[in-house]
Amino acid sequence: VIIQAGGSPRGTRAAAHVADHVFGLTKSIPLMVQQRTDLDKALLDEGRDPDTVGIFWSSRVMVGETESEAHAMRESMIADVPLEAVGVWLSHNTGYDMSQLPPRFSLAELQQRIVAANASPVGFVHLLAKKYGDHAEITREEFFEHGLHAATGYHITFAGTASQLADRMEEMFEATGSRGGFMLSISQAASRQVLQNTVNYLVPELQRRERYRTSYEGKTLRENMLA
Amino acid sequence: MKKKKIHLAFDLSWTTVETQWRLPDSWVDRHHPNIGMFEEVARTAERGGFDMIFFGDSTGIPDTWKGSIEDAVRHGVAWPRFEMSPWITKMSAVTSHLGFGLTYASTFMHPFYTARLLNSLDHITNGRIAFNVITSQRRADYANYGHDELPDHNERYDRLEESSTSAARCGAASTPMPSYGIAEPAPWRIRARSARSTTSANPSRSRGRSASFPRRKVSR
Repeated sequence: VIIQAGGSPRGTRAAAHVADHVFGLTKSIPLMVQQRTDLDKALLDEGRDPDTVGIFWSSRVMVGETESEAHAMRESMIADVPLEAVGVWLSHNTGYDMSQLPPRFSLAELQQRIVAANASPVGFVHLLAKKYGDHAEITREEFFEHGLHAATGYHITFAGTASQLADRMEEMFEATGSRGGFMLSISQAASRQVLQNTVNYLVPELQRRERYRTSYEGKTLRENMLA
Repeated sequence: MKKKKIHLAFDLSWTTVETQWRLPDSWVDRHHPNIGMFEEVARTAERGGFDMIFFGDSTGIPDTWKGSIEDAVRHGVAWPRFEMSPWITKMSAVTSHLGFGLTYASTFMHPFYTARLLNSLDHITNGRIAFNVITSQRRADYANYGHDELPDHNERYDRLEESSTSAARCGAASTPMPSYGIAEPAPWRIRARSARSTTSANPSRSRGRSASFPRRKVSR
């Protein structure tokens, strides 16, 4: 099974050419729908059936027995994170040394520096520019605050009870053509509870809604991903 | 009408900033990473009917921040980095249906080596391997392979397409295939700049550069 994650126009074309399934970043629903539409078009151009290619949306879930337990689990992700750790992550992922940032700058200016470092045009700063506009000026502190949420995965983490999370996942799944599913990040450093609650509460809730397998359909990964 | 099923996978990449290791009940053990933790995650994922556990991988230790790996190592950001294929064989031994996703960059890896490795893993796991093919974009990664700079975005994707086609031919796919047989010679070469690469975001960078990677001694 070949999977691929390119989100840029060139990356989407490559995915349609080589991938059995695609790995996508969770964004706002309209942007996710756009990626699905672009991929379907690229697949048709390659003479492939878009129904057989799923997108696995990268996200994180914090499943709690109660809503407040879930939110507390999510908040622990950003508690006491040193600024240097955020700087390391942002610099690594954009190819630009963020310790060099001036006190104020526009996102367009920062993007130019990143492109000059020949990094991928789709990234954290690109998404931030989409949200605030290219020419909006932000301070270094504001930028690192956004960076903290991206660096820890906090911004793509949905916290709630199994039923709240299943509602949200069904909405995203249906909006993006009811194919594929979700790639849920878990940390090797996190509490066991994150993984255990996902399997113990979210999976049975999805099964109750007839949205999830109750046993493996096939023997190989290829068979199971297509089922 | 039968409802379409949602598929789930766990992404166990070590790629985000983590501070939860200090909380009670963290996976992090006296020595980390501990293979027992990976086996426990695999058993739990299979109990939950997950398609697979996925490992993203960028091989480099982040060193763009202040031009050093120091803060990355101090705060454990994308560090330590392991080659996950041996861990996957251990995880596959305690499960029977769960798949495993593994990542390699076509920009650096030779398609024959990659295909042979993935084919072997696919046999040992009874057809449970997924290959995540990436182009890679981070300086820390390409410096480890001895490169001063990356080919541009479009060129990296041209290479991803042609090397994946040959890798798939060699058996990264889990359909039955003669072991190790390459159907035809892998078209592994660094392509001369093609017409569509001229849309590069930063054409000035590539002007006058030869089609092959510049090499340098790796100093780390």
